[in-house]
Amino acid sequence: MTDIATQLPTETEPADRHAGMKRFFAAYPPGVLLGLSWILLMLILALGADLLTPYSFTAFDLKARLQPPIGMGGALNHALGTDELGRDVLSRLIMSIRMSILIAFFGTLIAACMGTLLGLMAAHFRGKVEAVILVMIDFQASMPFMIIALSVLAFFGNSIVLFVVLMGFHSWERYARISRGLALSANEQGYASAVRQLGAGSGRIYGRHVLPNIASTLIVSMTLTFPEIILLESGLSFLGLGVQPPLTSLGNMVGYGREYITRAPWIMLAPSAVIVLTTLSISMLGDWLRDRLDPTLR
Amino acid sequence: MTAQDSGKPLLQAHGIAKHFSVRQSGLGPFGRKGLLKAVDGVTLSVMPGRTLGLVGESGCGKSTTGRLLLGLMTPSAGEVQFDGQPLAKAGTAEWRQQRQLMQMVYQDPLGALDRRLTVGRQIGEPLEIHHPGMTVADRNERIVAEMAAVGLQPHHAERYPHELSGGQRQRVVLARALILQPRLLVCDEPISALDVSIQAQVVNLLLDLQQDLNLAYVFISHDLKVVRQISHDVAVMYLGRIVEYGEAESLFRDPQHPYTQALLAAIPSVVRQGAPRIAPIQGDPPDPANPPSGCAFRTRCPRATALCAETAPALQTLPDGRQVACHFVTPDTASRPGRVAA
Amino acid sequence: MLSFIASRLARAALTIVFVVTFAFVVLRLSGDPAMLIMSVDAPPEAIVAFRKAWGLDEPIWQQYLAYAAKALTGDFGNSMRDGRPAIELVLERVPMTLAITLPAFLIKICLGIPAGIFAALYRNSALDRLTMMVSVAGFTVPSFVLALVLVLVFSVQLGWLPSSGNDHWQSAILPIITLGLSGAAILARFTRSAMLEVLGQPYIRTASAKGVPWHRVVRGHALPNAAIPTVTIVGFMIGSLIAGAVVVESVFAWPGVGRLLVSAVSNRDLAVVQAVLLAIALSMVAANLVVDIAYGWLDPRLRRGRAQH
Repeated sequence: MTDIATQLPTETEPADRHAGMKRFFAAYPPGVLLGLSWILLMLILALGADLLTPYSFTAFDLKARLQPPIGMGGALNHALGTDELGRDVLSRLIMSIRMSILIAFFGTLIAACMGTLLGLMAAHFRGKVEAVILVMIDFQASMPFMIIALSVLAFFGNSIVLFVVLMGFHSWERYARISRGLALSANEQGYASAVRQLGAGSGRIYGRHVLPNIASTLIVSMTLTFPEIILLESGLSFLGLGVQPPLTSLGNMVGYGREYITRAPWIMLAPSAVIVLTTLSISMLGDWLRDRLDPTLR
Repeated sequence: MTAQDSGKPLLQAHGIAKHFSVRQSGLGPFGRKGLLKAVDGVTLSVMPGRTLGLVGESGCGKSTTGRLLLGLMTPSAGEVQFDGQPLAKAGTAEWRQQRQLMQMVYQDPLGALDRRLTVGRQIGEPLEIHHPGMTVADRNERIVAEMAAVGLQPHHAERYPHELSGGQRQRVVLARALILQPRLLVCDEPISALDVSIQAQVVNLLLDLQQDLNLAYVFISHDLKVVRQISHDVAVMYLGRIVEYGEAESLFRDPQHPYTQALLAAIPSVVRQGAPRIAPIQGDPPDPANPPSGCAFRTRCPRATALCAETAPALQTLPDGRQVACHFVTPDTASRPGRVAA
Repeated sequence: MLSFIASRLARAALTIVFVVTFAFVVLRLSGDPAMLIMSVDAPPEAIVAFRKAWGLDEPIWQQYLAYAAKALTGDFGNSMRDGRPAIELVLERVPMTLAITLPAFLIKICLGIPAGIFAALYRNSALDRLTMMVSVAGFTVPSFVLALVLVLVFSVQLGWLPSSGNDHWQSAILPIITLGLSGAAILARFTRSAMLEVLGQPYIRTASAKGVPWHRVVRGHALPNAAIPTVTIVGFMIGSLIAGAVVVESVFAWPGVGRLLVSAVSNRDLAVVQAVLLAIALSMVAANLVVDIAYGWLDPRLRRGRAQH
């Protein structure tokens, strides 16, 4: 982390407060700050879901079925309204955010680890190992992942663990490609071959040198994968093939709310808005990070 | 300059070769496979504390030869011996141990350094690798001493590579290579990426270090002036083979092979005044994956005849110890000092 | 050029083999087919007879070869739901899917490419900002949300268009718009960046500095060069003509291949899933093949460079 800090131009004391503010907003545009705040809010909701939900997300309130949210004639007790069974939409939304973010987080982590490992293996071993990994990358890139995911779900049935692992297969090939390319160039004429030549073992070469050097590129790629997995997960859950009730996720809620689109559109609009805002925020953050950390990517 | 000739050579290569298989262009994956002979039967030796210059145009295999000499690549044929022992296979634990004795200096110091670590850390890294038990204080002491030896200030240790000048970076690479007190350095174009004013400083540093530490160098360069200044012996390479090999001063004064003559003719100041001008070399070297028959140099040689297209000339030893691979240079013709018989 | 096409064909064939292998491996990993198809309390001798009849007692590689041979003729067995050959079910849905994806494809091309080109030519103008905003939305709004919002506005609020089904030609309008809009946004973003990259090249600046009229520079130099990367994404869109409407078909209850796949997955109708998988793989591979050849034709440099590895 300290390495990144030293790469940034060192700021001198601002002459006056106004100029300092200006420079601050040039470095952190308002859009990015808003996106960042939204992501923070989502993280707080996801981590503190149990404390923050006003009701249990499965609790019925049969007296208040299909109650509209505040602003559409609703009352304070159910701020975002209720669904057909009188369950509190806000509580369900918070639990859904937690589920979707957890799935996207682990999915991204699995994809990044697996892809990076395979990419580094391809670069390290070359030859047959590399050929096999390249064919796998080709295959993954030539089929829409949604179709692969659907077939796997058809064959294996659904469970939450399988589903998370499956999401982790999304876009692993991106990390494999990036890490293979960067490791190859580092091995061929760069610092990695220099360190190897000093007598360092593979653990030191990859752990101490190659990974820290490609980390920023990988992190930027993770900001691409994260929203993609949210979209994929919510798409599958929307179709009823992802997260299964009684668990709930954002896509799941939209799918459920679609039945009540004429009578209670808020059930479907609230999670939709969360999906759009979250993917938008992370993409913006990713673009900003890319410009800052790694202008060579794409 | 001949004082150490009596000793045993530090580094010896016997007929080393490196062949790569390449696909012939334009034929796709079904194309016939070709063999690129990057290095093809090179024999040479380096004495302790002496410098061997390796010269030639780009693509002649001099860098590959340097990597073979260090054991960074496994030769397709032949053997490299260091201090009388064959080199271990690349990547093995034994090979890693041998790295303490021989090191490499690169053309692009910025690329050879990790831009996320301070240069002090990187200079000390060989100690971390080979002497993991060493205390931090001891290590820092060694780092500062080594930095001083290559002309760096102690405060440079906290800098990152991109914060240093090109010459300073090359000094960092040198310090990192020297901290384990090796006996051989292979320098691959170590100064060609530097400003001309800095080049002389680095060359002088290399000369001083050699004197102080009895280092042996393999100095790879296309800059003949620098090679003349620094080398005790010189090997001229063309398309993977040595075409002329001998004591530096006499080779530069009296080149025998037409290729060496043409190379030297390209630097006017090196050719003696009054000597008949030889045309500098023209055109590009042939494709190494598709070399000409017979003598590889015949396509650009002013003296080429039918014989040159038929058989490749072998490296012959002249009375003064010089080795030359040319049909027109034999022990008899070379007895006349000066030019090749016309 | 011939060997280039041959190498592309080999790669396409390899991908198909990979898909068939994938289906076989997943099928076998997912459980004993005898147990899946026979009921749990079937007598043991019936299971043995079943295994023999289906070749399940043979070595695994023989089973694989037999499977691959059948798969390549499109024979995946019958659907569990209505007993008809799975491949027939898939083929009769293809025209329905194309009925919405082809018009949507036209919208993407006619809207996305010009928008991208003009946004790049008039960089930082209001048009450019609008294009960028819409295209960011196209990336972050999932298609089912866009579909439901369109339903909410045009079916529920305004009552102009039917919200689902396929009894009426108007039923196709909302699915086509949903698919077309999100695709156009992605294409516009891509075309814009391809165009901007080309416009920054030295030869463009040279041409305009020489005094060549700007519209001729754009038509003669910028557009043909920006076309090369754009072809890739268009090719991918052609490839997803069959696969790309899974969610949208489900939202609008449009009886295409995608909806067939979704219902087959929820019913675990494996024969149908495999048939859809192969059909989609074939269409993707065919599109990739066409794009690769178009690439070689547009950019002769690539023909050699790519053929070399």
